[in-house]
Amino acid sequence: MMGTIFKAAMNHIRAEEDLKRKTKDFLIANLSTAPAETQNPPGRFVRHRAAVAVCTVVLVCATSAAAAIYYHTPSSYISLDINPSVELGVNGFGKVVSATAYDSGGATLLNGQDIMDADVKSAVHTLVRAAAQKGFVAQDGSTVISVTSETDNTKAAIELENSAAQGAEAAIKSEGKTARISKDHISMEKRDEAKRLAITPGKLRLIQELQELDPSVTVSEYKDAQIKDIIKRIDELKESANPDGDDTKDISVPSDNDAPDETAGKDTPESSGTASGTKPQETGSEDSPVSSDESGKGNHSDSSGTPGKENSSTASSKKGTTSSQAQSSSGSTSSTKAGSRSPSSLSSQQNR
Amino acid sequence: MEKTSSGTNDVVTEALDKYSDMVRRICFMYLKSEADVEDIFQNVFLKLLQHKEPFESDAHEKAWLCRVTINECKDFHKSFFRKNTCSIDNLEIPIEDKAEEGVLREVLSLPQKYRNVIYLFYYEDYTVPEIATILGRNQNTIHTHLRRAKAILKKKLRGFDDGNYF
Repeated sequence: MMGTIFKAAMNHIRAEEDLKRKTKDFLIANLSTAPAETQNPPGRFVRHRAAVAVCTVVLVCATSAAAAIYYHTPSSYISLDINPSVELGVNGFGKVVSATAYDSGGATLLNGQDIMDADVKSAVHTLVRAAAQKGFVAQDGSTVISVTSETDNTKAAIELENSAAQGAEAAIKSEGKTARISKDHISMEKRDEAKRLAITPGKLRLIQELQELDPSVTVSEYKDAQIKDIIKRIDELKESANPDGDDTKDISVPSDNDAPDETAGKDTPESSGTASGTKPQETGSEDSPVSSDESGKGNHSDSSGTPGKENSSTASSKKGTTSSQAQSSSGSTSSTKAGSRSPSSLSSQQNR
Repeated sequence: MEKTSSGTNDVVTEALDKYSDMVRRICFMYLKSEADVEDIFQNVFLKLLQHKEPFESDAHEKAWLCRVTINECKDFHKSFFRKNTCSIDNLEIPIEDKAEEGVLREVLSLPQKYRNVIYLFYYEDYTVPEIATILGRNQNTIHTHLRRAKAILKKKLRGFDDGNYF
């Protein structure tokens, strides 16, 4: 019923003669000179899809290029100073994406080493091991390996320097050698300053630490000095500044832990480090390479101020002392946390 | 539709005579403006006359034209400026019979997807599978649309005359 009525109603709907005439005129005019775009509507569709495809490809390419650029752009750096000196660029994923030699020795060190896309720890491990094999690490344990992370992100800087120090320590151990490992971090501003002075950021950090102890020291004076010589000088100055600060006292620090003090609270995690700090002495005769990690942490915790300054308190010197010092100069071995609590270290902090 | 040697004029006339009413009815189901209908007319017949592939039969040609016209109308409605420009209430339906006018008005007030199936099913007498092919939809979907459209119309047309439209 509804269908019938609907059909009857629709039968009234017809194309008007005027509509037919207009359409006919239009068709005759357009069929003789049919425009390309109306002749082939599918063509429009194809062009539409082609445009979308091109846009998609461009977008994918742009995204890929941006990702590639981001991956290959260092967001932080690690300065490895053994003499030779090299600087590793590290991207946001913690992978090494660039390596720059600061001297001929650095070029020799990098030559033939495949450290690209490696993580910081393994890259530093590879380079330190290569350095040891190529004779850049002295047998007597006097070599100082300085690793300095360069970034404005303190958390990332600490992670980087720890990774690098661990890599260096493992490499030294695997080569059966001994060396002091100094680690720290600096800001990118300091890195730029080091670039201007044509020295590695790690060396600049040590020279500036030295300048704090002896203001008469100039950068040019120590520009070409070896890292171990700078650290030796720092140790000497610290000792002379604290003639009473006997290391024995520092070494026996375990008892100091119980004692006071402002640092005790901060160093809670390090308290274990302190305990380990004593180990070097106990096991010092084993000639195990010094791990600067614990001392390094101690430094960071101590250094609530600028990174540079914290750095200047050098985990290296304190820790370093711990390690090799046990073998050579035990006096300066105010290592690790114990070192940070030693009178000398406290005085240096106060100076800052 | 292929052009014959009798010339473009004959081909156009033949096409218009054969399908202009059907195209006009489909346009009526979608469009309210005469100017819009004219645009659709021109596009649809231009496509028909430029169609290069031969049709298998008249039925094939008719179904093809139905689909093209419906698609043209849908595309027309997708245009931003043409959306909701005319209400069904203001539409003047040139039918004197009240029952016919009432049914037509209710059909026109249905959602577009229901209008399609009602027209193709009741007026063009296509089967559900044929409608599914023309509209490019699943047969079950067409069944559903048809059932729901009928339900809506039944509800709205109750009380109209004897109310027994179905």
